[in-house]
Amino acid sequence: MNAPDRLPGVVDASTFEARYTAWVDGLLPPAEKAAFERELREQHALEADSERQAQEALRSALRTHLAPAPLPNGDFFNHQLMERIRRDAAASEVRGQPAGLPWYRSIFARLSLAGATTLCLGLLGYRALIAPNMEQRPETAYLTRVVNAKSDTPGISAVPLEYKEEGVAVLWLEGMEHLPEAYAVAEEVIEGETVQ
Amino acid sequence: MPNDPPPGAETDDLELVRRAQSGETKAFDELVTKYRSRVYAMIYQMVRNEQDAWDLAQDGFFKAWKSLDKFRFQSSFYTWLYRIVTNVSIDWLRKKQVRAEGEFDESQVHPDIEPTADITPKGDVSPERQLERGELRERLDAAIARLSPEHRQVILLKEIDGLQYHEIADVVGCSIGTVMSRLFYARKKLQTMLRDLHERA
Repeated sequence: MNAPDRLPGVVDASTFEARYTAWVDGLLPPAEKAAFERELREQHALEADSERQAQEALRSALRTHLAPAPLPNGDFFNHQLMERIRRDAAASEVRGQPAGLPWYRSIFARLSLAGATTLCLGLLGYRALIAPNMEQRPETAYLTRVVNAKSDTPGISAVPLEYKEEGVAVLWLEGMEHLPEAYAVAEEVIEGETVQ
Repeated sequence: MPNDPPPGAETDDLELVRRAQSGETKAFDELVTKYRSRVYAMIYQMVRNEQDAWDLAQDGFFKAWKSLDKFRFQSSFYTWLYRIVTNVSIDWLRKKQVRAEGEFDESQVHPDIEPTADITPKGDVSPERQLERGELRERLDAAIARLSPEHRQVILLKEIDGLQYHEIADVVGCSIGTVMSRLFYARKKLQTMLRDLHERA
């Protein structure tokens, strides 16, 4: 509190308001003070002396009128405040939060606990409900053989279609004039059903 | 400066703050004892009511206790405490809408107050003499109540607490230029509102 106020010129006295304030408070360097008083007189038609007198009178009135009001019952003030602090600390402990623990630490602790719990429940759920249904249905030898079919004729196109829900794969052939005997429709029994 | 702390006070404060930060309420109690009068006086000038000033001072100190772990020793404890207390007071004033009519805002042009208007008193009657008659006292009270919380804050910190520009800037949380600008408008508005008293004199 005892350090001298920074010179406004060093800070920012570029505005009229700042220069005026520094001038009223007696903080303008002599050269700037003379220039400002000239500015007051020539640009604003104000007499420096009377203007400053008005401001000093105002300051004096403020300091006289607004003299610090004494705090009544200072000891009780402390007592009341300390009681409030004690009550708050007790309430924090009841909530499971150590007294004085910053709010963000409390939040992080709660978030960490919630995260760990969620992770454990997620793993258990995965093992119990999802993993058993994730087992692949066994592919049949029949389906594999269809996909391996091929032809020497370039005009023939083959489109493999697979219906996993039905366990069926179809090779759609276009451009073939006839079907070689070796590729004739075959029959295979899959899980009790006849498939062609 | 009327309210300078004694030499070494800030060092003592920092030691007390360290102890209070470790949870020692007795150290905080000492800080409260040290600053309660100044804090109460400053709040009282802001709100002009003893009971409200008492309650707000309690709130301010309690908030300071709760925020003590955020004090980083980058400013004096006194400045830091004042920042909390003035913010509590200003928030309260805003909520209660105690803002005076015709709040002064330097960002706007006010045709009724010319910054360089000739409002100097005529004659030699000092304001102190009128103050003794009580009339100026009432007018001054009313004039201060009509200042915006921000202007009231800087004029009180400057004239009553004797803080310097950079200290006010720390407390208020704005630039020194803004502090000087607010001081200018606060003073000019007070002069304007009290002009008739000067003229009658």
